[in-house]
Formats: sequence, C-alpha cells, structure tokens
Amino acid sequence: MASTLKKIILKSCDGKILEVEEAVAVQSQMIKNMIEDDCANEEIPLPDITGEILSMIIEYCKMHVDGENNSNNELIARDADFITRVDLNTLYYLIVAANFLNVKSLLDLTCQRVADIIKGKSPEEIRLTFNIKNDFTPEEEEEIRKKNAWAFDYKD
Amino acid sequence: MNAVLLNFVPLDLEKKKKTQLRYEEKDTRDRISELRDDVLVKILSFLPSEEAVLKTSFLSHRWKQLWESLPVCFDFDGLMPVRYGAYAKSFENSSDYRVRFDLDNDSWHYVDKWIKIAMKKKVKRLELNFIYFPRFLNMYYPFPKQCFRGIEFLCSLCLKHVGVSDDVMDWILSNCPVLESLNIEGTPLLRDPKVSASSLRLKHLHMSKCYYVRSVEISAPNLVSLEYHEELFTLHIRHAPTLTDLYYYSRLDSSEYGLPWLSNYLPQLVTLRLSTVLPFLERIKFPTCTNLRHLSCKVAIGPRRRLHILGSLIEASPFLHKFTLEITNYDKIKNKLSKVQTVVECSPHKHLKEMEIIGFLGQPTEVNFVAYLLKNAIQLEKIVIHNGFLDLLNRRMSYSKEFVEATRQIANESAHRLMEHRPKAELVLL
Repeated sequence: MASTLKKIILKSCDGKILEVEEAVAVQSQMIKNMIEDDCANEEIPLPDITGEILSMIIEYCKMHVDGENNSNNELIARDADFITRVDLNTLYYLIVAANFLNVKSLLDLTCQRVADIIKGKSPEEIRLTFNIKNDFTPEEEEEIRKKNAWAFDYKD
Repeated sequence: MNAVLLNFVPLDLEKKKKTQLRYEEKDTRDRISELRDDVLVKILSFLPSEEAVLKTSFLSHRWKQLWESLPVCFDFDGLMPVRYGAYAKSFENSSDYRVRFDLDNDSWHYVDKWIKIAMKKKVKRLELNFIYFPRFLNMYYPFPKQCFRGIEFLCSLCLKHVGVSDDVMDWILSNCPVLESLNIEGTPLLRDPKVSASSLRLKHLHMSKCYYVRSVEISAPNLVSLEYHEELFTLHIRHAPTLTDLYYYSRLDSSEYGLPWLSNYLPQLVTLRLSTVLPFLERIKFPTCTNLRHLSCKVAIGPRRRLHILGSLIEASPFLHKFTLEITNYDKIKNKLSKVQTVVECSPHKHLKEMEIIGFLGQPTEVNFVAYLLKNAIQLEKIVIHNGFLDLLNRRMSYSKEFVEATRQIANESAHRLMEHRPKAELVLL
C-alpha cells in the first residue's frame, strides 16, 4: 500500500510543521477533499489551529487508524481515555479544530464530552463551569421561567 | 484554581493518573458561547431534549436565541433536537416513536438509523412526517425497506411524504399482521394501490395528498373508518362489512365518476363526513341510511347551487342525531336581510337534536335551507350558528370593512329571525 506512505504536510498557526501519513490525514474530511482535488501537494496552512492542538488531533486520528482492526469497545475505551485527559480550554480548541478540519468522530466525541459536563448540573453550575455570563434581567428570567414552566417538572 | 478544572478528573479514578493535557492559555473567557451555532446544537443534541431546553435556555441570551432559531419540535414522548442529528436515547422505554424535523442533507443517515432502532425496540406506533418537502417539488423520503426489520410489531403506521409506491404499500400490508391503523399522506408514487387481504386486521385507513393515484381498491374485512382526501376518481370499496365511519374529501367535481359503491355502504355508516361539491351528491341515489347518526358536510355554494340535495340526504337518514354544515359562499354577497321563501315541508324528522352551521352569512340560499331544517326537525334542541364574518374577511375578494360589518349584522339578525321556525330550540351564535 504505497499510497498510504505518502505524507501530508500541515502547518499550524504558530508555525509548527507536522508531517502526517495520508491515511491518518484523511480522517479529516477537509484534508481528504483537498487531496482529492489535488491541492495537498504542498504544506497546508491551518490558520486557527496551534501546534499543540494539531498534535492532539493527529494523535487522535492516528489512534483511530491504528485501531481500525480493534473491537468497537476498545475504540470507545480509548476515546474515553483520550477525552477525559483534556481540560476545558483545550476541549474548546479541539472542538473548533475538529469542526474546521471536519473530523466527524472527534467532533462527536468532544461535543458529547461537553454535553456530559452539562448533564446533571443546574443552570447556575453550568454558567460557573463555562464562565457564561448571565445577561438576563430578573424580569426576563422570570418570563423564560414561565414560558418553560412545563420543563420545571423535569426530575434530576 | 478556578472551578473549570474540577471537571477534568478522569471518569475512572482508579485508572493510573495520566498527565493532563492542558492548553497554556487559561483565562475566564466564555469560549463555549463563542462556538458556532451548529456546533452548539450538536452539543445540545447529545442531551435529552427536556434537559437541554430546561437548562440551556436559561444560561444567557446567546443560548436562548439558539433555541429560538431552531426548527425543532419538542414532544414529551422523547423527541430530540434533530436537525443536526442525534442518537435516539430518550425514548428507551417508549413504544411510541415519533420523528419530526426539518431535513438537511445529513439527515437521511440518522433517519434510517432511528427507524432501525425503533424497529429493534418493536415499537407499536411509528409516524414519519417529512412535511417540509415542498409539494411542488414532489420530493419524498424514499421508503427505507431495509430498515424495517421488525415491522411485524407495528399497530399503527403513519407515513407523510414518504415514497410509498403500490409495491411498498403491498409490502407493508402483507408484513404487518397486527397493523390496525395506516395513514399515508403525500406520496407521489402511488398509482393503483390495493388494500386487500382476507386476514387484514386494518381498522383505520387514511389517505390524502396522493396526487397521482388513479384508483384505490379496498377490500378489508375489519375496516371501521376510512378517510380519503383530494382527487380520487375511482375509489372502490369492494368489501368492508364493518365500515362505519367514512370521511370523504374531494373538491373536484367528480360527478362524472361518482362513487357507485357509496349507495351500498350508506346504510351501514354511522358517521359520514363529506367535503365535496354539490353536483357530486346529486348523482347519488340515497338509500335509507338507518345507521347514520352524524352527518357533516362541507360545501361551497355558488350562484346556481342550492342546498336542497343535502335535505334529501337528511330525509333519507331517519335516525340522524347531529348535522353539521360548513358553507363557503361564492355567491355574490347581498347586503340586505333576505326573506324566507316557501319552506318545503317533508315528513318531520324526529331524531335530529343538534345542528351546527358554520360560515353563515344570511344569504338567501342559506336562509332558505336553515328554515327548512328548523321547520322539519321537530325535536331539535340546539342550533349553533357560526357567523361567516371571519371567512368573509379572509376571502381575497376585497370587501370594505363597512360591508363586512353590515353582513355580520345581517347574518346575526337573520339567525334570530329564523328561530321563529323552531322557537323551543336553543340558538347559540358564535
């Protein structure tokens, strides 16, 4: 499989150059499209992705390529291991990058992680966790509360 | 240390601790709210819908707006925000399965998957509604036969804007031994479907907006109710011994074709709802409809059309209990009180207790017909008259406000006057 040895060169926004095997790089739908369109022969600049985040994404893609023959459960366990080692800021940058590069499985994994963090928390706890500023006036808050009254029956 | 990092302890604490991967820049920026809409929606799609709405709409304006911009319906039976796809998680214990959403190109994959999950769970009721397909494009969701392994458990199936062809319909009927209710709407693929099998359990059949149907043949031993909308020229019921409720809606003048079987079935019907043009009715010979209790007619009247044909149907139904008439009046509206002309008397109707007239404008045709009804329904207890005022306002023809108001007054006035014919009955004006 000579073609899999072909290297794709990625350049992060902080100037880091990474050489990636094509088989790994095509986990990104964006890069895959570029290769198909014959636009990936030179280095691909990634304006919003730092070298550190890029390395993580490559690590993730590599894990998936290497793990192709593994059982589904094994992959899920590896995904879980990968994602729980990531802090919130990093998670945010990973989401942006996974979305930009269109790595579907990583985008799912990272979004699922955020959802898991939200799960079981009160709105106030969610705000605290993500630094979300409550910009409602008390009147507005009351109005939403009324509008969503049905939802308050929700049991934790 | 801020609260943020508390969340990143690995879920499995017993696992050997690994170096945390951390991004250098740590600040208190609200990065999550800066994510694109579609990414946030994706995050929310991983939450049960109630939890997602309940919590996130309270966070800030950004999140509230996100919800408001979404073409998402919520139902308590486990529906999720689905535009960007999600896993079907929240209906685990439900035998109902409803999928309603706006389509985009990525949706197909999820829909197929959900159907498979639903089938695996042996759901009893399934409704697929792709209503957003613009009708003029004749688009539809191709019926994914391969996903329907487990269809034999379905009791009720509703497919709207799904590509149901004659073959598919046949396949459904022969693979769903316990199916009792089938609702097919908006498929451009049906041509000459046949609903027939001696063992068919089917009780309720609804077909509408199937614009290319040429004929439907029904032979269903357990069929109780049948509803058919839109153009159908050759609906043919061959065998439906238990049919009691018929809803037939056709605005076309299908009088040429008629429904030859209808006369045969009229005696067994308990409820008949018709939305049709009057010439269509004129071609039916009414037998004595001994079982008919509820009759509901939606008709349009124009310059040359009178309502007397409906009188014949009522006269043929001696035990009729409730009669509802919905009128759209296309005649030139006269803005003056019309006098009742000679009222045709017939043998008095002893069972008609309730009447409802919707769209009443007090025009001569209407007034004469209502007078006739009142005069002959000797046991009438209550008549509800809905003024046609709103209908008139909605009409594209431009009537001045004054004219419409005057018509409203006239309609009310004539309704009161009409009660002279049956003073004991109660009049409710709406």
